[in-house]
Amino acid sequence: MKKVILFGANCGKCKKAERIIHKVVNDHNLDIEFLKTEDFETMAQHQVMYLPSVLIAGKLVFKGVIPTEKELIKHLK
Amino acid sequence: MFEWIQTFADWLIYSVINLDAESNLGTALNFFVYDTTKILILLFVIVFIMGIVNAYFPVERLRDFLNKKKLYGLEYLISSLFGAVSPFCSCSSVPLFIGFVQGGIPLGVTFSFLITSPLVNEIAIAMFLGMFGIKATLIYAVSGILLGTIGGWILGKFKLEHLLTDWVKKLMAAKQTTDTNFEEVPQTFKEKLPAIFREAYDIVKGVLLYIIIGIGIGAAMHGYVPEEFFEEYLGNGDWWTVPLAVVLAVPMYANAAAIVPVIQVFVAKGVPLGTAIAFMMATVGLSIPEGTLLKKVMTFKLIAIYFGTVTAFIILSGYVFNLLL
Repeated sequence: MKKVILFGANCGKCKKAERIIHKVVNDHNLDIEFLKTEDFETMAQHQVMYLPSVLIAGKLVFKGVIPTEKELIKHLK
Repeated sequence: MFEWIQTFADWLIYSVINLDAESNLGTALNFFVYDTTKILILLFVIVFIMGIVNAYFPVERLRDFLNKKKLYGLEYLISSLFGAVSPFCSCSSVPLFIGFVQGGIPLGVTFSFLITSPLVNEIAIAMFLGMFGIKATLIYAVSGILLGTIGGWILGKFKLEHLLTDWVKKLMAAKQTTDTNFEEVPQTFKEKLPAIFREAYDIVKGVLLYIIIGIGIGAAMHGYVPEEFFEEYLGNGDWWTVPLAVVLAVPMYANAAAIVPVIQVFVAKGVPLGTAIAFMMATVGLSIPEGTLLKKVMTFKLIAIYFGTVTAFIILSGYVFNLLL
């Protein structure tokens, strides 16, 4: 099971990124452990400097951009 | 350069919609279509160029560069310049701040980035270029960058590190200049290009409504606010007009897309351009939501010093603009 961490805040871009992740996971019935964190200390631990950022299976795949469904599928499958 | 947009606006309003070119509604709608189209194109191009710059020189590279090179004071200017060309969502300001101090960048240099990043932003540049022309845009952008440079340098001299929150102080003490503790998926420029294009499109789409509202309010004010209305109250150069405009603007939280068309009317109705630029800088550069976010990394005293210094500098630049323009 892949672990997906979304680093985000309460802004429109971060909320959209979260919606897309949920949609892809549901549409493709993916077995994913998902976590969204707004905690700056956790971001500092992972040295995340842009929001939203998405960490998939330990790799920082998206930095400061909203992923598309197609891109997410490629990394989550 | 933009004649074809005027031709398009003339065709749309006077031929397709068939409004009289002499009527108030016709000229107002023509002006609206011309201005909105021009600004949206400028905005897209500027965000796209900034995206390319950012793809080549990401913030991590800037951080490493500032950390490794001895720059004899130029680090404040470089940091401020990067703040101007980096198109970040405002919610990234705190993670960027932490990333800088965690990477061993001095607090003053970090402040230079933090001050300029919202102050000189792509939306305001596109709006200024579209509504005031190249000269006013250059004055706005250069003064914003200088303000960040000098503001960061002065804040650095105050030695304010003890006013950071405890967990940030611990991060500073254990500074990490090494790479991140996870693997980053490498991407070629070609792979990054669709995301840069999408980002530019998303930003334009996101501010479209604000631009329409701003230009709409501006157009309405053009028609209903009497000529020289503001000149009577704000335009005669009284010393208190600049601080008043700035102090009123700080609690306001408005998008540059909506605020620039309104200040264009202020200027047209007699407010000095310097006072208007200072008002806009205070609106976009300092905001209460930003202060709330910064509370996670700074004590209230440091936020007050930061806001106070930037406010003072915006007021000062307002006076300088009014003298020069």
